[in-house]
Amino acid sequence: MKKFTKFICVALAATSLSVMADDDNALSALALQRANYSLEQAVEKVSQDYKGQITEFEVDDYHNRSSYEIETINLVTSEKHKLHLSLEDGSILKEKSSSIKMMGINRLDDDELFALKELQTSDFKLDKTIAMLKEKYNADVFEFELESEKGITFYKFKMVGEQGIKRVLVDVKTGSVIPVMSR
Amino acid sequence: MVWATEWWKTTKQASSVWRLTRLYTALLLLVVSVLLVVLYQLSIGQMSRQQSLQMDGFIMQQTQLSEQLSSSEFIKQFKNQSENSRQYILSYQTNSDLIGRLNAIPKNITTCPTLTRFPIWLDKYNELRLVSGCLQTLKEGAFVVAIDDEYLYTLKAQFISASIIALLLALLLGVITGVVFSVRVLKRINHINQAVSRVQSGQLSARIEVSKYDDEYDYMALHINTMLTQLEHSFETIAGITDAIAHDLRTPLGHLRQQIESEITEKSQQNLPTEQLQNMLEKLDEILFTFSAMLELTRLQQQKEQKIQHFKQLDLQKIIVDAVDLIEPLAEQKNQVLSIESLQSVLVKGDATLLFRVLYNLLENASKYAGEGAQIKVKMISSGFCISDNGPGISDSEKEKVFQRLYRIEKSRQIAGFGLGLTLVKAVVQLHDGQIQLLDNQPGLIVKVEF
Repeated sequence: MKKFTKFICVALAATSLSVMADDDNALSALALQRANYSLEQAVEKVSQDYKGQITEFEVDDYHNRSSYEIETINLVTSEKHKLHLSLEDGSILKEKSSSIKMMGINRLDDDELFALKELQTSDFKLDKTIAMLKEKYNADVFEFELESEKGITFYKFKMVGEQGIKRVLVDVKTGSVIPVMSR
Repeated sequence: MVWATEWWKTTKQASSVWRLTRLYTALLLLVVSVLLVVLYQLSIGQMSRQQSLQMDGFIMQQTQLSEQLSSSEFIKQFKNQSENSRQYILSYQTNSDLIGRLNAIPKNITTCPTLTRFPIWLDKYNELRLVSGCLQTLKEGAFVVAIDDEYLYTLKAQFISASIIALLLALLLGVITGVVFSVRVLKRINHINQAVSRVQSGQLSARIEVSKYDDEYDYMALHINTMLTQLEHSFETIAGITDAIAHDLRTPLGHLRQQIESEITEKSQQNLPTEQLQNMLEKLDEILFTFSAMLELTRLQQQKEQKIQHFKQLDLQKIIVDAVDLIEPLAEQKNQVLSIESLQSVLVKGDATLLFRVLYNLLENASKYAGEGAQIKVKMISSGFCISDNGPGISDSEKEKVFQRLYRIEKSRQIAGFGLGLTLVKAVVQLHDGQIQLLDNQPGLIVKVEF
């Protein structure tokens, strides 16, 4: 853990203004590091309470408080929930629900809808995948989102570990890691 | 839509034209398909084969190098290859390390030379790409070789879409050509059929229209027209001869009849037997009747146009009631039950006397051949009538023959008749553009007449 913190501090000190994204990542990782309420707990709570699919998860700031910003979509009830959970105790700081349909027409684009349907019909388990990634890469997930491209639905995870920040993609259908080409 | 349905019905009936259209369309589709396959093989297929060959060569080269070089030398050259190759994406997995451009070995990748299509994430472009690759096992590890062939798949997809459009256009072209062809051919054939039908119904002067194209249909029409002219001439000659014979024989036969009648009167006054003379008179009457009927038949078949001019709008209902009334005493003699069903007004343009004869002849036949106590029913239908009985009926093999002149069914020869009744009935029905059908009543016969 000390090594992680050291890395984050070094990353923050070394970042320039041109790499604001790296800054955000490092801050998110630092916030997660200090959280009392873990990402796994947040995923479990939202999965149980909202019964939908988590499409986005990131660490954000809500009125000067670190929070998990989570977006879930339930295709059965056609509802979309946007939540802010406190990193301190997991309390709901903000909740916004809306319908994904407007006058009977789905507001989601084709890729989003396809991704959600694929996820719904697959055997993919988000909590188990997060645990698997943690063990495999010896790093922590601090951000993820559901995406679909060229007919392949995948979760794009951002992880922080001893080797820095890395991106890992997991195919929802097969559960396997999609190789990343460095350049 | 109605036009299409009509065309379909007509084309389906004209099976030869339809068969030709289908054959033409199938051949057109076959030719287009063959062309597309050849085009595919010469373009995308060739590119695909070339790519496979190059990849096989590369795999073989790396396999040989792994056997010839030391482990560190091989890794060095592989690293170099993976960093510099613009064509291939390379990764080498040893027991402890993963060298190359991919951060993981794809899970379900197949062993070379069979290629698997799998996704990779391009960090530089923040984009997912689908590549084709395989895993080659070496003595100290295994390497992945993959190629970004998305352009080839895009090209294949575009080719397939274009091919489907080309095939649909070929099908459309085939169908349109077939429709035009069949409509034109059927039009010509229909002209021939209509003319032949008019001749068949007695209008011997009918001829087939000859077009300006001067093609094989026109030659056929000319031949048929010549044949019809000869046929008309022959009929006229026969009719002339028949009329002459009738005219020449009727008078002496009439005189003969008068002489026999006088002889009978004389012998009756002298109380002498006249049975032989009576028999002779009956036979002579039969001859005269047959003769008259044959002459009438000839006239009916030849003078259609003149007769049609005198046709009037008639109600079949009245004619049926009159004919039934007339035949009723004959039926009663044989204890037959005569009934009319669904009495309704059916309007027909025709000759009342001739139509009455049709009804009377058919009812008389039913009464004559159905036997004692038979049930005879006259049922009116929307376009004509049916007369049914529960007598012995007519076998299928004889149903057409009974309409021939002087034809008599073997088993009915003991019943008086000349074999001209149904011939006359058919001639009158045809004169009225109607149809007559003999059907099974199981048991018995149904005569269906429709106008």
